[in-house]
Amino acid sequence: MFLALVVVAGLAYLDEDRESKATLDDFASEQATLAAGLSANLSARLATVRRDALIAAEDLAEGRRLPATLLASYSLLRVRAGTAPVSTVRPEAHAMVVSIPTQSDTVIDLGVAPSSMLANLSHLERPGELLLLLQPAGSSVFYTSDGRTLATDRLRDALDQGKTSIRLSRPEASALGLPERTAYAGLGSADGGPLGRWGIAVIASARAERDREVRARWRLVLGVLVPSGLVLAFGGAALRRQRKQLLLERELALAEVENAQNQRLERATRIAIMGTFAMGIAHEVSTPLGVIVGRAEQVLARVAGDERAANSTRIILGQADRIQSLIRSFLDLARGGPPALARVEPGLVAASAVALVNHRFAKADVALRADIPPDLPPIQCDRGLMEHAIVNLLLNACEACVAGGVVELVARTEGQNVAFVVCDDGSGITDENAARATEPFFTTKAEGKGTGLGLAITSEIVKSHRGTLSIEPRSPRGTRACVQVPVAPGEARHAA
Amino acid sequence: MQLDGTMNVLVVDDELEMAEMIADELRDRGYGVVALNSSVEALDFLKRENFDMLITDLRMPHVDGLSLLRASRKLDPSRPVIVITGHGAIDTALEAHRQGAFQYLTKPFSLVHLLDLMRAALAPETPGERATDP
Repeated sequence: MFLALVVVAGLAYLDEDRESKATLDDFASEQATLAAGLSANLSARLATVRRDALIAAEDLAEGRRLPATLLASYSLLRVRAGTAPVSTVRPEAHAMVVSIPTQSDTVIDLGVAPSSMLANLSHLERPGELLLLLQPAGSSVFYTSDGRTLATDRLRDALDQGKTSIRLSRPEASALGLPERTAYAGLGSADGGPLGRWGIAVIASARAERDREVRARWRLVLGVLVPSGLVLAFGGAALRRQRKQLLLERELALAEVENAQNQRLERATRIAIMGTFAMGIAHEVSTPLGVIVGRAEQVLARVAGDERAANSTRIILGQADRIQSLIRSFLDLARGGPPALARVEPGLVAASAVALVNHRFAKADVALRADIPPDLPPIQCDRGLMEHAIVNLLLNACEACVAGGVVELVARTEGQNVAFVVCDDGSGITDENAARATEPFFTTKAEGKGTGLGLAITSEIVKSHRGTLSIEPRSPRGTRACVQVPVAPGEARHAA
Repeated sequence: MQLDGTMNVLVVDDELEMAEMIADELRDRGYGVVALNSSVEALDFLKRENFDMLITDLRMPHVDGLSLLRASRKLDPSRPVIVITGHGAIDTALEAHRQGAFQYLTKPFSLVHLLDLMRAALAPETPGERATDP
């Protein structure tokens, strides 16, 4: 956007510059035209001077009195003896003396005031704006209409070279009595016949044009700067608003992701709780149910002759069978299917558990470091349940830490087992609490913060995998939890 | 149903009711039976007495069924062992089978089924039914 503004401003400037140059060219051309017009006027004036000289010479030769109008027109009028091949012009103070040869071996001198040569032109002059200069033939100086003389080489050279206009610099304009601004001179010359070639210069200050040019440039600058400023201000505001909106959207997206992760974790927790309870109930009920079924079978064998008693016993067996079916269905429902025991890489279990809790650690500003060697022997387990056991240990560790705390998850082979060790540098645990940690509903967390089921469930899960769970204080501070589960059958010999 | 009245069977379950129920049935069938609800005590009995068969629960405090199975296999590899287990420990039962248990039964089970298994385990002409050593 900034580049576009620069380009637009540049183009506008070039256009304005071209316009300005054209205006000045026109201005120079005007002065040249004026000078050409004045030249014609001057030619006529010179012809008049020559004619007056001849009339005066003739009148004097014949002894006539010179006409009063003639005497009034010239500051000097005399006839002297002598010969001159050509007319000459000799400058004097405030005047020029034009000497013209007559036919009777005399020369007539006429004192001509420059103002009189420019007499009918001087009304064109405007003080401080336009100045007329006259250069008599053979003179190196210029006369102003009020009789002052000025020496200016530039004008003289330009006239000698036949130029019609030239540009004058500020100092040159100032030297001529014009404002110190660029000026233009229109140049012309008049052929005075025997009086030689006279030069005339129309010097005009281009102040008005230059002022107009400056104003136009300011208009251009303002015309570009103001809209640019507005565009930048509004654009900047729009960009800021857009950025704010994007930030908000990003925060919303992050919150959504975090929410989804929390929901996933909660779902996994629910499934693990239900599954663990279902397994616990199924296991606990199976023994009394087994006793009922066995005893009923024994009774049935003894009441062979008593149909009513036999029927009642069969009903007991049928109901026990129904309870068994119910438990099995509940177990399948809670677990989302029958237990899925499979050979699983411990690294996968650890990685999945870490992925499930990562966002919780990030939110609590607790670092989670996992050290899981790739060559651990596989374990036989229900992956979802085992993951959940590790998740519970990691969440407990995270909640025990303050911001800036560190939790480490290390997996390694220990004899015929794979051990998952979770260490934190949190608030720690007393030996007494460690001993009770796996009891259901036992919690040291604040009211409403913990259910007291996490470690109980972990313990159940670990037990159902023939593993062990130990919780103990860690030196110098924090807690160390370790889950050991046997290496999958057939892998033991490979285990370190 | 009785195969051999001189056979001695050790039944171990931490729930005495369960052990006694099985023992009652086996005694009725003419077996010599010792029923215990302590696996530690059972281990002691295994070392001192000569049993033809061991029937044991898997999940028990202190010494679990798998340990008892291993001890029995060590003391007398030819002695058949039948393990009984609840719903939640199928994997343990499978592991017991791998470690040489003759067969496993999931509670609740039919006594008829148990007697069938015992018959198969004790029949000298069908050694192929026995699980192989790990």
